Amino acid sequence: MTEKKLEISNRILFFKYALPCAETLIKRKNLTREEFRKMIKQIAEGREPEKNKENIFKVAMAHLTFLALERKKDKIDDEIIREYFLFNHDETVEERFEEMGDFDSESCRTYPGIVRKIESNRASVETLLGIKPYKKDFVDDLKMQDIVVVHRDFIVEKISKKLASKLWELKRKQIPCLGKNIFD
Amino acid sequence: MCITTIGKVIKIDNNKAFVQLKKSTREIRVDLLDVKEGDYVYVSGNLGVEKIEKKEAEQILNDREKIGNFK
Repeated sequence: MTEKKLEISNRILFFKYALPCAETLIKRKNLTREEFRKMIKQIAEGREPEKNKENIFKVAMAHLTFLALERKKDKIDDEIIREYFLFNHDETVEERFEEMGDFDSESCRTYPGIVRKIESNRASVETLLGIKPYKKDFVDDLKMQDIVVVHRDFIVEKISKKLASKLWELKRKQIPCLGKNIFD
Repeated sequence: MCITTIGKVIKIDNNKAFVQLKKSTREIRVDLLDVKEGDYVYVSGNLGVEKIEKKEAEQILNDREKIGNFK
């Protein structure tokens, strides 16, 4: 077991970022499909999942705890959650991919995007991967042109244009041939 | 991030450790763990995430090797 683990101050935000990765946990039987669906519903309704459910995301919890401790914080706050999933996550994915190369590293990353089309339970979002449909369970009042962050099949949350632009430029360092910043 | 590699701790220096991975050696932080040389740990990026029993680690590494051979 990981010996040190800090509490999360906003568990709903954590699950919005972490749950899209849960498919791997289902495959490993650390989580059932029913439990996954239940948690998606809870988060969509603004309800927190049962206590300690976050601990099934061992890797994210370890990174978040480490980052919070580095920042001299005694809790994992919103700033730490976003710093990890938006800025540190890609590097971790890439290192693992270089080592093992046995998964789709692109879909594990988070991407900023612009909402281009809204349907009943999905919305098409333009990211550097192109325009693709994403589940919109976690986001209320989604409108065309909203700026969001996506992770695997889900829209995680709305973000500012400034943050989206910064993330795009960060991606450009990893993908030099990336085109014009769509947020400028 | 939900996916890890397994590393064997070959050297410890305070809150840092050098681990042997499948193809390389990596320096990782082990602030969250109580580990010693010879232990096996799950590694994510440059962070030791969890200690794992030697028998289990060897089994997983062996299984991954077999899967790799079928690719």
